[in-house]
Amino acid sequence: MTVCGPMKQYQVVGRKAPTEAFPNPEAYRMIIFAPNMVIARSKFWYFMQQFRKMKKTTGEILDINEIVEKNRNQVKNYGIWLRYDSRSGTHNMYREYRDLNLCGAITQLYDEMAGRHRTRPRSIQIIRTSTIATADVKRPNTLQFVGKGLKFPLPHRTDSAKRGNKALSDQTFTVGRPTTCFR
Amino acid sequence: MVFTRFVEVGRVCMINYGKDKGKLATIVDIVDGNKCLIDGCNTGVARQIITFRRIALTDLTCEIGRGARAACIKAAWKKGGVAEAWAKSSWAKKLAAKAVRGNLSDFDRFKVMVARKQKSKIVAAKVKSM
Amino acid sequence: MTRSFVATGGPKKAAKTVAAKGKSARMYPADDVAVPMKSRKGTRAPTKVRASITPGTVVILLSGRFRGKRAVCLKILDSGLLLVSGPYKVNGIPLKRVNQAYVIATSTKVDVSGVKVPATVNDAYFAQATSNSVKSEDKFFDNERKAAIVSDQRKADQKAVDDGLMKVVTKEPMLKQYLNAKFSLTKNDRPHNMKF
Repeated sequence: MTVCGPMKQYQVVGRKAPTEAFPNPEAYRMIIFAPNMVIARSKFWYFMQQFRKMKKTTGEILDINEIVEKNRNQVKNYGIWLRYDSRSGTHNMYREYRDLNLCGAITQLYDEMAGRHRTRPRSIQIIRTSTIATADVKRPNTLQFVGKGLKFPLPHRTDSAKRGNKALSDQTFTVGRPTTCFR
Repeated sequence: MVFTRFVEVGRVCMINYGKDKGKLATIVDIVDGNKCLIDGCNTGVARQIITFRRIALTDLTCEIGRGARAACIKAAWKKGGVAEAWAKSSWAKKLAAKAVRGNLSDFDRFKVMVARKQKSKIVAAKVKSM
Repeated sequence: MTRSFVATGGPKKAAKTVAAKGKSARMYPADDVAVPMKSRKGTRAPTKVRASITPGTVVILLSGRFRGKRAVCLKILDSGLLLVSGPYKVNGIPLKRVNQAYVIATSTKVDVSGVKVPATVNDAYFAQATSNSVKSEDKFFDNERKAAIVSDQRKADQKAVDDGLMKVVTKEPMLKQYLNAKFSLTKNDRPHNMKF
């Protein structure tokens, strides 16, 4: 999650501003992941500049709206193909996440890329996303959680809030020793 | 040590943090090593992904399939008698007693104090005679 | 626009003519008319007593020599102070005025509809009598302790109130003992989380 919050999915439609010579320029539609509309528009122009000879000063945004996933009640496997700039070069990557919606998976992706590779959001480009059937899951970490009859205990952890206190992580000092063993 | 409570589909858990604190919910799906999807259609908890830190597993389970819908969970609770089993558990009884104690008025607290004194008097007399 | 200047007496007179004629003056008084400041005395709104305190509420007194004791609120006086009584027979609190700020209202209520508070018991009733007969110097050197003299009137009023109150208090089991007991906090008592 970036400072602007979790990622959202936007559909942005834009084109070159019409002139007398070209009264009806071609419109382009793009799916953009961004925490808000302002960043989504900015990203649209960033990608558009790379594909076609147009930019913000000579173009116009026709339409922008958020795409909200319909089924947000089931956990799904999402595969994400991306490209990112590391400190030494550009890499392509495929990653899998489990979440209720695509935006959640994308948010997880940005978090993980920041954690594992110190990658900032500006150097990540999402190439393709798709939901994946259980049989097609590739990554071992995801495979662990798609099997049938999965069950495991929670042997060692700290409770988030003990004896009516605030969560342990919210406290600088605490008088109660955390319990880490639960049945 | 043998584990008896597992993170699994159908496990009834109690939320121990946030606005739904103290409410029961059912694990519907396991997302990853830190999170699971819960549904509290019986107790007014919204279907949501929650981290394991914020739930406590109970002894109870109900028979549902992975990613079951609210109606299925309700039916499974009814069939398994989950609500009744929970009410009978000492955990639930302790919580209920705690809630009752918390809502006592000043006068009620006085009455409890007097009753406790009487009780200890009886106990002390009995212990002395033994 | 031309203006004709008419000699008038002075600022006060000018203001007067304005008031008489109902027209604005042709001349604006050079000096401000001194208007006395409006007194804020006597315009104070009557004190609001919080909703949890009504006649019959058992209150815990928090200051003064009866601090920690429980008493019954009988009436809310015109000054906004609460008229309470122990009853005197139970815990030694006489008919007394207390500020609502120094009181915890409990949810326990006593039916005081049958208790008749004499009409003479008002704020003036409790005002301290000032005696000029003893000179301050004499008073200063008079170190002898004298027992406070309680007038017969007060004793009679206390009795009248207590008689009515005791009837109700004895009806409810444990209530008498409760009023006699002192309130205190012990370890692990969190007053902000407690319900009274």
